[in-house]
Amino acid sequence: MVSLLASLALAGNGFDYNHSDVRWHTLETEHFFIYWPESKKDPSHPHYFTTAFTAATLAKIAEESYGPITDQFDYDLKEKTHVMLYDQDIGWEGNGFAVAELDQTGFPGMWGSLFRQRGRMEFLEDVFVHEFAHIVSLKAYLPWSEDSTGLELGGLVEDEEWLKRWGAKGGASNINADIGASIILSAHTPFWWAEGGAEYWSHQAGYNFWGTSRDAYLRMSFLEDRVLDNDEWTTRADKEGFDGERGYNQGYAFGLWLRDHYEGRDVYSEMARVSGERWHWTWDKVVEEATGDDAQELYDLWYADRKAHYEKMEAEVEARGLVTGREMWLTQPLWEKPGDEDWAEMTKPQRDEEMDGETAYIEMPSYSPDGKYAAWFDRGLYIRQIRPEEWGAIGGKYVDPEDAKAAKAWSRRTAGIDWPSYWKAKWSRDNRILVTGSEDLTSPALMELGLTANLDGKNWNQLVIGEIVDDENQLRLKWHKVPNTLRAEESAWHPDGQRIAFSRYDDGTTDLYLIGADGTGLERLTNFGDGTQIQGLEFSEDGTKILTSLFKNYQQDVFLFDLEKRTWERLTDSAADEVDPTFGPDGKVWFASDLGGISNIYSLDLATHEARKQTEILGHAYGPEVTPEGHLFYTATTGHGFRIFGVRDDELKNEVVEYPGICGADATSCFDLDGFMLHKPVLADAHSVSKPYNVLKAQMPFNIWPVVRTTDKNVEIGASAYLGDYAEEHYLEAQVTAGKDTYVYLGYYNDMFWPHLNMGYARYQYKGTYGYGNDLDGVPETDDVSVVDIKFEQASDDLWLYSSYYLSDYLFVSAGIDYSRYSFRDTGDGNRWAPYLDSVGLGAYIEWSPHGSSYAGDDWINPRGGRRVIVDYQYRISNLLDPEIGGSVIDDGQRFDRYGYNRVMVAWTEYIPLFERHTLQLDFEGGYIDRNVIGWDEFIAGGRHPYHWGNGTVGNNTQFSGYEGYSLYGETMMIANASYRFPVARELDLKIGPTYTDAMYLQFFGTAGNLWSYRVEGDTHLEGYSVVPDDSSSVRREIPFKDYAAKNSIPGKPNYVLTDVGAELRVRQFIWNDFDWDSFLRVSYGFRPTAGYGDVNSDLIQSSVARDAATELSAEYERPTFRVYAGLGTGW
Amino acid sequence: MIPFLAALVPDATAGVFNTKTMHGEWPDRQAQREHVLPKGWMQLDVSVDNKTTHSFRDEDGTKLRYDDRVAWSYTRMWLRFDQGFSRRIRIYMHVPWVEARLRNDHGTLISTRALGDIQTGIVYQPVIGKRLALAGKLEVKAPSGVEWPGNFIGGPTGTDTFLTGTGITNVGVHALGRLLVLDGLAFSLDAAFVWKVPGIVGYVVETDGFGNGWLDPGDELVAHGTMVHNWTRDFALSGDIRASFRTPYRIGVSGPSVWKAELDRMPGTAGGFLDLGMAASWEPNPHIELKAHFRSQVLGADTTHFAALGLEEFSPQPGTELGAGAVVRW
Repeated sequence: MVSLLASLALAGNGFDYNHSDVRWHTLETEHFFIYWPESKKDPSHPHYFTTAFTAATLAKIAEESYGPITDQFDYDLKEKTHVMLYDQDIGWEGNGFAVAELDQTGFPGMWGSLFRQRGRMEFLEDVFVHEFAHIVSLKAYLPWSEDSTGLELGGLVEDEEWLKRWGAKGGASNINADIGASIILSAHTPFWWAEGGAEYWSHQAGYNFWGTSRDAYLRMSFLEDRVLDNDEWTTRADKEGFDGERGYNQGYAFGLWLRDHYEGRDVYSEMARVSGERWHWTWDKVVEEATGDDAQELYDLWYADRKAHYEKMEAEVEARGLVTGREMWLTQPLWEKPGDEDWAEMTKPQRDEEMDGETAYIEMPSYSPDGKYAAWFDRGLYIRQIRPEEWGAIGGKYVDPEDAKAAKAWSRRTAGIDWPSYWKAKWSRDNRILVTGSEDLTSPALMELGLTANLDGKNWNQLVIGEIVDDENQLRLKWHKVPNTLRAEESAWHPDGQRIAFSRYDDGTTDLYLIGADGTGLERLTNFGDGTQIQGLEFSEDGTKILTSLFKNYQQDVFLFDLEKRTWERLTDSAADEVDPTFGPDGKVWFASDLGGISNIYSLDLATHEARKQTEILGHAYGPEVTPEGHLFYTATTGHGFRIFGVRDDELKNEVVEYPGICGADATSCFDLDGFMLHKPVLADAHSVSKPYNVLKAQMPFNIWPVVRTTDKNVEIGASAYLGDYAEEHYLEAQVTAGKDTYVYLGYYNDMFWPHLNMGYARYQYKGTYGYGNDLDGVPETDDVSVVDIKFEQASDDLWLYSSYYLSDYLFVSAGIDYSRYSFRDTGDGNRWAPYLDSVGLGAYIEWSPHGSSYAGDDWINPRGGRRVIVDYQYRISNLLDPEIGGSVIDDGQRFDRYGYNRVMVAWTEYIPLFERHTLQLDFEGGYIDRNVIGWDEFIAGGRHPYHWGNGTVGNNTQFSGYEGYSLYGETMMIANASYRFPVARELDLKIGPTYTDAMYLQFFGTAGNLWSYRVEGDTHLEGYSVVPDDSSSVRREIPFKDYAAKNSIPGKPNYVLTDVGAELRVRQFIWNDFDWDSFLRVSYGFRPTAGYGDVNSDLIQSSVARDAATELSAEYERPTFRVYAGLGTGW
Repeated sequence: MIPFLAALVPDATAGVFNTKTMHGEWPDRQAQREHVLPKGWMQLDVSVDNKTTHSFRDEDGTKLRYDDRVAWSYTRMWLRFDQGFSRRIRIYMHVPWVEARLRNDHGTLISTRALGDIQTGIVYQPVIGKRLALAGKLEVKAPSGVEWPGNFIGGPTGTDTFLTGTGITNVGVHALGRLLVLDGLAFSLDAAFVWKVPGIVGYVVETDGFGNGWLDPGDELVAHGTMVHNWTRDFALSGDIRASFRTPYRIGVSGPSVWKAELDRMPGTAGGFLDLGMAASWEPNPHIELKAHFRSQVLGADTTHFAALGLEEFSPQPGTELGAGAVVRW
C-alpha cells in the first residue's frame, strides 16, 4: 500500500497539479505539433492566462531552426516533434526537457529569473533549439530502437539454505545471505556530449552564441582550478553547485574547440553517427572512432589551450588593475586570507567544498535607503540589520569565527525565509521590503513545515511586503500580500512609499504596471505584446521616472519611462548587454555591462553622458547595488558560484571610459526610438491556426522496456510498456513477465481532474515448491524427517482505484479502495483456481516530508536534514473462501470466516544532520489492528533485500534486518531503529569502464521492538493444527512489553523485545554515465531466537509438527544468526 | 483488434504507430528477410493453428488409428510480439492459449482451455545485408501453462482435464542460417539444442497420492529447413521440413537431495519425429501480412507418454496441423 500510493506521485501536465481549468490547443506545423495551454476561465479572472503569442512565436522558431539542426546530423525526421508549452503554474522556469524516443520536448513559457545569470535573453529560442538539438542528436546516436532504449537485467538469491535442501554439502554455518544484482543496459552518452553538444549544435544552427557569461563560467573555472576532468564531466547526476553548469559549459567549449582543431570538421555530429552504428561499451570508443584520436589526449589538448588562453586574459585584466572587492561574508573566507594555516592544510577537494558552501546561488544584494538593512538571496532570502561598514568587505573587520557570542548576536539580527522568488528585494524609505513571493503565502512557520493546502493548484507569484517587527531578541518580519499583483516579477517602491511599480508576466512578455501598496489603483503602463522582458526597476528620486532595462528585439539596453508623459527615453543603444540599472546616491545610473567581453559595473551621468567603469573583474558582474555611502555591492560569477562582492567607495575604479551607444552623446545614437519600441514580430494568429487538443492524435510512441530477472531460482522474462498522451491526461502502463511465475500489470492514470486518479489491475501467479518435512516422532531435534516435495500455484488478483493530491510540496494525501483475491491450485485442480481469501480495503494515506522526500546529490546516499512521516489507515474486510477448509481458518485460537477491521500504521523518520556529513537517522514504525485477524492480515516484518519484489517489507530495510524476512507477525507493531551514518569517501569521481563511483558511506544501526499478536491462554486445543477454536474468552491481545510475543517466541525463550545490530556499507555509483547503480553490503545480527508460521528457518522444508497444541505455529525455529545482504546495482 | 491496428498504421499523426526515421528499411520480399527485424519495427501476429487427429503412434512409432468416434483436437491461438530491438537484435514474446479437446469412444467430450507455455527469445545476427545470413538465437519457454491434472483418482492419467503446459522450463540454443539464392528464393536452416530443465511437476505424483515428483523430459535436437519463394513481390510460398530427436525421459520420487543424476530412466521415451509443411503469405503492404500453413507429421516415435494429459510437446500426435493468421507491423 505504501509503495503503491507513493508511486502515484506523478506529475500532471508538467506540474504536480492537474489544472483541469486549462484548455489545450494543438498548433500543427510542417515538422511540429505545438500544444499550448489556455485558461478556461473568463479573461477577467485573476488566474486567466493564454499562451497564444508564445505558441505562435515558438512555431516560427521551430520551423526556422528545423533544417539548421537536422542538417548537422543528416537526419531528416519522418516523425513530427511534439512540443509542450507549460504556463499554468510556476516551478521550473528557465528549464526544459527533451525525450527523444517520445519525440517530445517541453518547457515553460515564463522565462523566470535565471536568464539574468546566463547573460542571454532570448530564452524561448535558446531553450527550444537546445532541446530540439537533443531530440535530433539523441535519435541519431541511438544504436537501438527508440521504442526500447534500455534493457533491465536483475536477479536475487535469497537464503543460501535452499542449497542444502538441494544437496549442497558443507557450510555448517547458520549465516543467511541474500545476494542481488541489477543492471540496466542502455544506450548512453556522457554529460559533456549530450548537454554541451546541444549548446554546440544550437550554436552551429545560429541560435546560440558563446556569450560573455558563458566565457566567464569557463574562465573562472580555469582560474580557480575547478574544471571538470575527463572522468568527472561524463556524469551529471552527482554534480552539485556549479559543477552542473560546468558540464554544459565545458562540453560546449570543447565542441567549438574540436571544430577548430579538426579544421571545421563537425566531429560532435560525427560521434552521433558512430554511436548509431552499434552499441559501444564506453563513449571514449566513440570519440576515438569519430576523430581517430584518444579521448583523454584530446581533452588534455583542449585543457592546455583554454588554460593558456584564460591565463593570458587574466594577465591583461590584472594589468589594467583589478577592482573586485571582497566576498560579502561576516567571517573572512579562508581563501581570502593569505597565508592562512587552515587553508594551507586543506586538500583540494576540501578547499573546493569550503568555497562551494551550501549553494552556488548567492546573489542580488539590496540595501535599505538608510543603510541599516541588507537583503540578499542565499537558498532563500536573508535580511540582516547590518550597516555596510560592518561587512568585512567594506569595513575591513570580520567576525571571529570562534566568537560564539558575536555569531549569536548576528543571528538575532538576521531573518531568513525560503519562499520568495529570486527577484531583487526592494526597500522603501521607511524600511518596508518588497519581494516576489507565493500567492499561497500563509504563516511562514507553516510554509516552512509544508503544512499548507494548495486547493486550486495555482502557486503564481505575487508581490509581498514585509514590515520589520521591532523585537530586540530576534529580527522578524510581518508579511502581507499586495492584492492584484499575480505574476509579478521585478518591482520598485515609489519614493512616496504608497505606490509600487512592477513588471508582470503574461504570455511570453512582461509589461510595466503601477499599483498602490494596498493593492488598489492598478494601472497598466505598457502593452508590448512582442516578448519584451523587463529587467530591474527603480524609481527616480523625484518619482517621475522609472529606470529599467529592456530586452527587446534581441537587444538589451537601459531605458527611462516617464510616468507622466508615458514615454520612453533610451539611455543606451549598444551591442553590449546593459542590465540591472539602479540609481546611485550620486544620481547616476549604475548598471552592469559586458562591454569589452567581461561584464563589469558602470555608472552613467545622465547630464553629461559620461560613463565610468567602476569595477575591473575577472568574472561576470550583474545586479549592482550602491549604498547611500557610495559603497558598491554586486554579484559576480566565480569558479565556486555566484557570489556577492563589496567594494568600498574609495576603492572603486571610477575610470571614465569610451562607451559606444550612450544615447545623447552624439547626434547619431538612438535615432529611431519609436520604431524600436513599436517593433512587433510577424506571427500567425495561434487561435486561428490551432485545433482543440485531441488525445488520440497526441499519443506518444509505443515504448517498451524488456525485463529479464531471476528470483526464487527461476527466470522471468517480459517487458514493461506504456502509452500516454503528451498532455498527460491519460496514461496507461503495463508489464508482463513470464517464467515460472507470471505477472501481469495494467495501470491507468488520469490527470484530467483535480486530484490524480489511478486505477489498475495486477495478477501475480506464482508456482512454488517446498519440502513437507514429515517428522515421524514429532521431535524436531531427531533425524527422522521424511521430506516430500509439494508443488503448488497461487495467484493474487488485485484491483484498485486511488485518488491523490499534493496539498503542498511536503504534504501528499491519497485515498482509495482496493480489492484482492488470493487463490490456489495444485495437483487435482486442473485449470480451476480454488479461491482462498477476498480482501477489500478502503484507505487513506498521508505523507508529510518537510525537506525529506527528495534527497539528491550527496544527500541521496546520506539523507539528512529532514523528516518523513507517513500515516496509513485502512478499513478492511477479509472473507475466507476456501471450500476445502469450510470457508474458515483457525488462527490464534479463533475461527475466522468473514470479518472487518481497522488498520493504522505510522512511520516516522528523522534525518538529523551532525558534523561533517555525519547523520543520525531515527526511525519509528508503529502499527495497530483493532482486532484479532488471520496471519495474512497481520503486520509482517523481517529483513528484506531491496531487490526483493512482491509484497513489501516494513519501511527502511535496516529495520529488523537481523531477522528472517516475513518471519515476524502481529496485530501490534512497535519498532524503533537508530542508524549512524558517516562518509568513508566522498567525491571519488572514480571512472572505471562504464561505471562511475561517487561516494561510500558506512552506517551502524540497531533495532529494538517487536510485533505482538493475540494469544490463547492455556493449552486448550484438541489437536495441534488448530482444527478447533478455543473459547473466545481464553484468547486475548498481547500487551506490548508487558507480554512477550508468543507467536515469535520459542517455548521457554520469551521474546519481550527483539533486538538486532548491524553495519552497512553503501556505495553510490552510476553506470552508463547517469544511470543510478547504487550498491551495498549489509551485515546484521539478530540476538533472539524466533519462531512462527510455516517454514520458519527458510530451508524450504516445512515441518509437519506444530509448535504446541495452542496454535498452528510451526515447531521450527531460527537461531540467532548473522544475515548478509549484498546488492550490486540494486540500491539499498 | 487487427483491423483496428491496421486502421491506425498508415496514420502518420497517431504517434503510437508512427513511422520514424530510425526505422530500418523493410525488405519487400519475404525471401529477402533477415533473421532479425529491421531496427525499430514491431510486429504483432495473431494466428490460430489446429491439429485434429484420430491416430497415435505405438512404441515402435507405428501409426495406429483410434476408434472412429475418438478425436483429439489441439488448438492454439497465438499472440506473437516481435521487435527489431536494434539493427542486429530481435526480441520476442510468443503467448499461446491452448484448447485441448478429446472426444472419447463413448462420445464424451473433455476439453480444457487455458494459457500455454510462453516463449521468449532473442536473435542476434552479427552481419546483415548479405546473401548468406547467419544468426544465433536463445529461446526460453516458460512453464506458464497449466500443469495440474483435474484429479488424480487412480493416478494422474485419470484426469478429466488436460494440461496446457509442461511445468518445465526449456532453454533452446539455435543456429540460424539463410541463403538468398535469387532475389525471390531463399533457403534457411534452424538447428537447435533444447535443454529441458529438470524439475518438480504437478502431474508426476507419488504413488500414495501425496507429494509431487521430479521429471527430466530429456533434451531435444531440432533441425528445421525452409525454402521460401516469392512468386510476386506480395505473395510467397514456402515449404519446410522439421526433424527432431529427443533423449530419454527420466523420472524420480520426491525427497531431499534429489537431482537429475538420481532420476530413473523411462524406457522407450527417446525418439524422433519428422514433419513436412507448406505455407503461403500475402503482404499487400509492409504493414499487413495474411498467412496460412499446414504441417503434417510423416514419421514419429511413441506418442503415448503423457498423452493422456494432452502434453503435445512431449507426445506430438500424428496428424495435420492447419493454421492461419494476420500480422500487423509498424
